[in-house]
Amino acid sequence: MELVKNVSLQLDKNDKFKDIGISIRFMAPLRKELASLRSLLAIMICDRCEKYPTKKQMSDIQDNLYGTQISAQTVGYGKAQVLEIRTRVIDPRYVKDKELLQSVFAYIHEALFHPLLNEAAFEEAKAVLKAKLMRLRDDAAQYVVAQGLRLAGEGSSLAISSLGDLEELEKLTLDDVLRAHKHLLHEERIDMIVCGPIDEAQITALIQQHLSFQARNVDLESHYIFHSEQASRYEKEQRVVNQCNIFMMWQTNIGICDADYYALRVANAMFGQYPTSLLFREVREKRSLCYNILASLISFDGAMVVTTGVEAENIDQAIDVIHTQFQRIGSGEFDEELMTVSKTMIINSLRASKDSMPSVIAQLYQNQVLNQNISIDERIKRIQAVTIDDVKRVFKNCRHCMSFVVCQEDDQDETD
Amino acid sequence: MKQIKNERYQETYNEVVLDNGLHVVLWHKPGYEKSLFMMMTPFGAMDLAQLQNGERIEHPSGIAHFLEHKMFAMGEKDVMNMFSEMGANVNAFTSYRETAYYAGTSNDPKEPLKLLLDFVQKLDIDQASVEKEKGIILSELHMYKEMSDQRLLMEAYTSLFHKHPMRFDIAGEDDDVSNTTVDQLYRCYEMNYHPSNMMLICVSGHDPKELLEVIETNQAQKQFAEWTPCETLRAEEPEAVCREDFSFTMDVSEPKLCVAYKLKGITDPYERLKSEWTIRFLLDANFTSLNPRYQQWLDQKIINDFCGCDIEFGEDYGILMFYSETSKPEEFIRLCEECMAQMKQGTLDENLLNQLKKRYFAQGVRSMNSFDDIAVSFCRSYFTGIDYFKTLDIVDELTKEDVRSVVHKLDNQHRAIVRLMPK
Repeated sequence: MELVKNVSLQLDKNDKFKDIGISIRFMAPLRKELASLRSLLAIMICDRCEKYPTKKQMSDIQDNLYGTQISAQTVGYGKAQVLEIRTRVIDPRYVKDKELLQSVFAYIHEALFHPLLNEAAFEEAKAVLKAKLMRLRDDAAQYVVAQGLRLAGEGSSLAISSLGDLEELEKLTLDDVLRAHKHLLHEERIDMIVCGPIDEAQITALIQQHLSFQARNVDLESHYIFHSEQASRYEKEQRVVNQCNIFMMWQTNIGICDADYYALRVANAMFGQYPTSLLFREVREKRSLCYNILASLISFDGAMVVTTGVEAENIDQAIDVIHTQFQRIGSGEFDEELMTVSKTMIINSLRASKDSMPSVIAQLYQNQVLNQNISIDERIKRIQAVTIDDVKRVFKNCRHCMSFVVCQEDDQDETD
Repeated sequence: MKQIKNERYQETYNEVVLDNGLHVVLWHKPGYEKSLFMMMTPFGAMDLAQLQNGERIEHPSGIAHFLEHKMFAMGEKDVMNMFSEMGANVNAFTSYRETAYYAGTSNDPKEPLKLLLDFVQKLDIDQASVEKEKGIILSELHMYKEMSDQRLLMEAYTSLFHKHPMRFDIAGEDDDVSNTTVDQLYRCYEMNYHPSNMMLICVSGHDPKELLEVIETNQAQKQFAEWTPCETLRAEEPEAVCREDFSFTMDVSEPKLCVAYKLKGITDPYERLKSEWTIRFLLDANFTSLNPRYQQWLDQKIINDFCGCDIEFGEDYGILMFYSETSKPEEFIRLCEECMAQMKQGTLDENLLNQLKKRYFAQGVRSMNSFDDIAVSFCRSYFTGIDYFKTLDIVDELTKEDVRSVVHKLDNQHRAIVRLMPK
């Protein structure tokens, strides 16, 4: 339901869970100059607030609310960056505390509306974000994806990390954060979701009491279809690593709301999502080239990526085999069984999502953002309706953009 | 079939031991569509020397993990494919103490349940398939070695122990993996995968009686050889650490430091668990944001957000470790020593004790949303010999006296420092 213009609340009563999940999502454009700022704000909101201005006080209140911690993260949704504040609180029936939810919502209010935004907290959050960004670079498997997207998605939202980047982070001031906080509360689209063993009337009343927002005007599209005119590229970066990491990206030319989206999901599953996929069979099982290999869709951007880690001498072979499997799907060189099994696996995972609170919340949010109401059962029907011709068509329509490899330096001592 | 209902956590399970010795637990989760089935053997990476029928058998490092990989072959058939055809997922893990295989589905659970029993209860491998697997396992080993946090932890274990198997990676040493043979895998399987040495747990929204029928019918069709329990043998481990100060380099931006203390093991399982929890409370009180000085450590850049601590006891080992990213290693080491000294005073404020009880009670309740958590924790508590709900209730029973008495287990004489430096 829309509480006021561009502020929504969805409630999902489900007594099988032992806790209540609360997700508050703020949406803003994903821009290079804003991404670091909002990530910094996310850290500060969870850190301390005016009412509980020390870490000790924050820990004390969280423990006394039975380990109710507030976490915040920034995630890319196509052209948008979503700052999510999330918490999970134990079902009060286990602790016989009738005031627990009242206290939890009051605490969320303090953290969200009155975070501790001073110079000392700002400098500390900046150091935390800087360390996170550096660690992302340190992990070669994560770095290859981040850098691959930056290179392949140049000029688009794909190239912007929702966590931010070091260069932009250095430019930020406390005033920027204060402005971003004000903007978050008063200008951004807000979607709230509460899921679990709840009394809907009670939660609605608590939201109205503690998380009251004014109406706002928002004009923001999240999903789009990435398009690049550049020819297919191959780039390599050398680092001090022992195992090489490969990233490959295709533009799918299919949007998340397009009719062909479900065919693309099936094709991606056949290509590299499951142990039955061509990539897993051909690259790992038949040739023992890797331990992990995965194809995944970046649905809000219209892109598909493959990632894997291989030994240096196997890079070229692995890339060749991956390309061959991609072509096999497009030209229909696969058994029908592969499609049947892949569909079964997707359907299994869709059904299982009903049993996972984060998945339930993610589905509700996606429907809200895309302004649609597609149930799990409807998604299953659409997956079932996909044909071999659909699968071939969507892969023929994809175009390879880039292969990016992070590998060891030529003169590196391999025994290290 | 015995039914156990727990009012406090509002959970119910049924338990039965089959004629062949397989211990079966059927955990009912009404309202859920999915099912998770897990089979576990208490055979892990630590069991490198075993005694069975008076014969001492030495296994190469990483064999439990190698075997886990090879269980997924049923002759020409591939187990993963077979599960996928049923709309089920399958996976496995090896830890230092156990190996577990698990399958999950939201479809009809009967066929995946049967297949799990079938593939875990038969090893069907040959020389060629074993050789082929070596490349995949080495690739996995190298992948973990590229992760700086994993590598720091592994080097800490290697620094602490001279002979104890924890000094090896769970997946083993490269050479051991390369030299593992079909015969070694078969022998290892026969010694450790008998039904009477395993547990099957089913966490499911489906009727436990129906699931039990499937299991009983499947098991009645199989014959198993006679089996006698194995005993794991350990070499005498010196009290001192193997490497007091060890440095290594990786392509990382910030130095990372681990300060690890080698403690004595605790043979009694209940005392072991209780001691872990008591020390965890002390660590929380002294080395996390619950300590008012934590903010100063951050401000002085002695620690950053990548900072933590851990405690673990086994029958024959104990590890207490602190770690952080830091460019002030000597200050960090001093901090860890101060923290140890503080903990050794054995005091914990009553309010703090109660608030930590609240935190961990809720964590225990919430863990029962997760089918994986239920299955893994239940099997572990069974093989350890402690009632599952007791492992959760233990937190509530801790007293200030427990805190005082755990102090003698905090020995800071045997310390290993591991430094990860940027290249």
